[in-house]
Amino acid sequence: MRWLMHLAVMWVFLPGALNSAVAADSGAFADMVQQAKGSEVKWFMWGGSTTINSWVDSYVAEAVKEKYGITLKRVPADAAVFVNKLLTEKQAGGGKGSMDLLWINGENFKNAMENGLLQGPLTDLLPNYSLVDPVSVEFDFGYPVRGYEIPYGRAQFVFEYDSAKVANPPKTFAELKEWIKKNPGKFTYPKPPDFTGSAFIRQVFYAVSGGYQQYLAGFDKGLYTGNLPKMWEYLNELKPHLWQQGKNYPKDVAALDTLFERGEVLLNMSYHQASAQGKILQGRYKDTVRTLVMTDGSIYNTHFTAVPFNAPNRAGALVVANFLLSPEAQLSKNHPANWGDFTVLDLSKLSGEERQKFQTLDLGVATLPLAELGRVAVPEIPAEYLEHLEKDWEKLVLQGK
Amino acid sequence: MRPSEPLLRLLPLLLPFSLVFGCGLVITLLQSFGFLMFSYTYDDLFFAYRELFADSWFLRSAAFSLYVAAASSGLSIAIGTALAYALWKMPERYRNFAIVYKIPLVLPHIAVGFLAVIFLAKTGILASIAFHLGLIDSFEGFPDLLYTSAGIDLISAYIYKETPFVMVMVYAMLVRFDRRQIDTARMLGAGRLRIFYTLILPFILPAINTTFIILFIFTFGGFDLPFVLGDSYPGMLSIRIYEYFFQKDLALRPVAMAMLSLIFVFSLFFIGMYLRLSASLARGVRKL
Amino acid sequence: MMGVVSIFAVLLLLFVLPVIVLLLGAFSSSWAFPEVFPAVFDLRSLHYLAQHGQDIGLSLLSSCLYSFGTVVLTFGMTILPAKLFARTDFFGKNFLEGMLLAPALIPPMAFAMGAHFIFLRLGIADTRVGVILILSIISYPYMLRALTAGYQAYGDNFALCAKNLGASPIRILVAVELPLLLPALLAGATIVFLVAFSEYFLVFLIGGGTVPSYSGYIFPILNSSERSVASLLTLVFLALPIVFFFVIDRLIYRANRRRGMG
Repeated sequence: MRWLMHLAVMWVFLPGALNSAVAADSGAFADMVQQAKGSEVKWFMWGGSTTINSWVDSYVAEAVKEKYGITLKRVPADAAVFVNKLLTEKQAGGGKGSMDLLWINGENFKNAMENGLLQGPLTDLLPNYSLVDPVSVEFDFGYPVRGYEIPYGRAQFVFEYDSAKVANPPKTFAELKEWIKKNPGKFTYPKPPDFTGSAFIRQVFYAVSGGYQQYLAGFDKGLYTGNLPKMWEYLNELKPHLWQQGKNYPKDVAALDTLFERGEVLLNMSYHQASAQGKILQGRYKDTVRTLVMTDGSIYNTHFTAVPFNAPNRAGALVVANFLLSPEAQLSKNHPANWGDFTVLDLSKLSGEERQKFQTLDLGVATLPLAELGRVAVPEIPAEYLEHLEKDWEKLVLQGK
Repeated sequence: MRPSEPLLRLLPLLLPFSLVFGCGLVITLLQSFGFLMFSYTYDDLFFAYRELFADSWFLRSAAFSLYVAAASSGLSIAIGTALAYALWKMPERYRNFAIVYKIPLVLPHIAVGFLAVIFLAKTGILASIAFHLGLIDSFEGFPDLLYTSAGIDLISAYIYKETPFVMVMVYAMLVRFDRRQIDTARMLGAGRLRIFYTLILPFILPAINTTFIILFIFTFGGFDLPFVLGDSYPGMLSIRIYEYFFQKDLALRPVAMAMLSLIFVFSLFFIGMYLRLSASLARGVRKL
Repeated sequence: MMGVVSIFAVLLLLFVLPVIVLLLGAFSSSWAFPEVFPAVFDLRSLHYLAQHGQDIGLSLLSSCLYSFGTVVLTFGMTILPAKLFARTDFFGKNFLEGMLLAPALIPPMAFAMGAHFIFLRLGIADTRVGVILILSIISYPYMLRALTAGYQAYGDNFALCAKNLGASPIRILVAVELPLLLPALLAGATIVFLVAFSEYFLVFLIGGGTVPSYSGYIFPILNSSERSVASLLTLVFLALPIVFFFVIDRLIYRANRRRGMG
């Protein structure tokens, strides 16, 4: 008789189990929400932008507290530093972890994956992931994501300038070189491996070597060494006309922001396409500041969160990651007063009302319209190129060999 | 006292000392040779040291660090001693107000770095003053003081932080000086400078020596201030160590450890040499 | 008279001017070249303080707690050795004294990275205990020096007298020796607290971001372009120890007055 009961139970539940992943997940997810109630989640992320920090500390922390009873603690840390820390912790064995959620992408993600530092695949566990177009987040700097990272935002590399001071800003990298020569000491870029500085030299690499397509197939040593001289030729040609004659570079993008805000340099760069509008709203920029992109192409990337192998509060981390993917969090994040970061959600999967909210969002006069940004958007280079570029920049440009 | 008692009393100190300081140093040394590096193995025992001397960046950074240490410690000692002496000679009732000199002692190094940027930037306070004095037409005319290979920003910041320390040490020594010796010298017709060089200076020299050693090594290996102030090239050794330890491949960690081992050896060497030198110089000076 | 005035001028210029600049800068977010004096004042920094009050308060509290913990631990580590160094002579004493001063002399980076490895294996990395331990190692020499000088300042007789009267060793320590040591103890505690409270790198290395600290909180802000907020938070960094020491100074003064030792 027992086996009949079992069969009946299975028969009742099997269709349910075969249903869409969302239905099954909401059961597992609901468990996680229950587990995470009243717990603390430590989110380790880059702390170099006070705008982003404020958004996380006020909006996100309050929302997850209210909805899920989770206390979110943001810990500022550079991705390279905390990946290093995870590696040391893994190698040393023993001891429990101290990080629950990480903001990670690019070469740091690749490093973490190659050393088995992350848990996953995780994306199937999150109900809100169904709102994302999986093809758009399949690769991170050319490395397959395979669900080990959870997307939560999209950024594009832009330049910023004060239209009241610079009437005719350069529109291509060739024009940029001429502009720098005509305006000595008024331009510089953050020292790689700072994220923005590193992105700038990648932009230069694309621009002087004829575009991005050739690199998408993966790391090709011959191709790299063939094209490298063009890049450092360009950067070394710029050197004597840069701020401090290129003998030194601002140590990070925050230092460059300070130089730009104080008027010591005339062009700024940012990997946040709406940061100009955000800073105008905060009163840090004059309202004549505008964003521009080079027609050679402007790199975009996706940012992700991930859960380390030794996370003490995995359930809480996943609940927070899921919340970040919710339409309300994505909308709040998209608002230039909060951050201005673009959404990773596939708008066609949202309800009409939600879609409208995104489409009618006022990104501000200093932000470029989506169409214009999209026109020049080019994908990021595979991570190995990045590592080589940063190392060689130090040798060839900074040390000048 | 029984022979074992000193050891027992020293235990609460010797235990953490050996564990953290002693073993910490040993591990630094071992890791510089490639041992205890988790799952990494190295064929060449000296690979980290070879890496340091393969290129010129290490020696340049070491030279720069020595230069910054010497300049800031030397100038702090000079300024601090002069101020402490002046303070000691001041009448009692004014001396209480002078307590403001202790402010930099309370400020942490990272805050002093921040202050240096505010003051020394091309659009900073000093530049604004220069503009109002008519010395420059626009901020471009103001010289580059920050992040240069002359290290002016680092040296000024360290002087700001270290001068009060010198003042405290020298002043503590001065209060023990018998003022009657000065009166005697005055009566014999000695001028102010002569009094300072022959009476005061030899007396406070031990304090100056100790302070110089402390400040020199501290500035040479200090991390907080150069980290906030931002780096130049070749920059301070401590920042290079930070880069190798935190930002580069874990497999390159022995290079950071090699630099630290060399710094440790140098510190010991420096203390020994300096003490020997000052002792031999003191022998040549006639004591009272 | 001229000498006094000129010294004051130098002192004021060198040491007070930066604090004045901080005060002005804290209340003006638009202070730019070529203003020597800010043209427009605003309260943006206070808004920030109000908005992030909880985080700031927590990091301040954490810093105070581990700094105080460092004072307690260094006292425990050095109270017995101090008496030994002050009162007795033994073989190798000078060498030992010199060696024990080393952690305050050698750049902390030299052993901290190695110590981190040990702490990781012991499981105290990323904990407050680990932070207190590493801070104690770099600051105990100051406490040791202070207590040794304190013991040297008064002789054996007080303790002997109490012993003759039948007091137990613990009673002697608490009722006779500690009050006599108090000025030296406070001098040492002041320095140890200050060193621990101001430290950035070691707390960052051993604490790993898990142990909140005020220096860790303020660091990214000092690096940013938010000058007014950075200035205000630096002033807090300056004011807290000063207020602390002032309060302790007054308490000691009153305690001494009551005991008739003022």
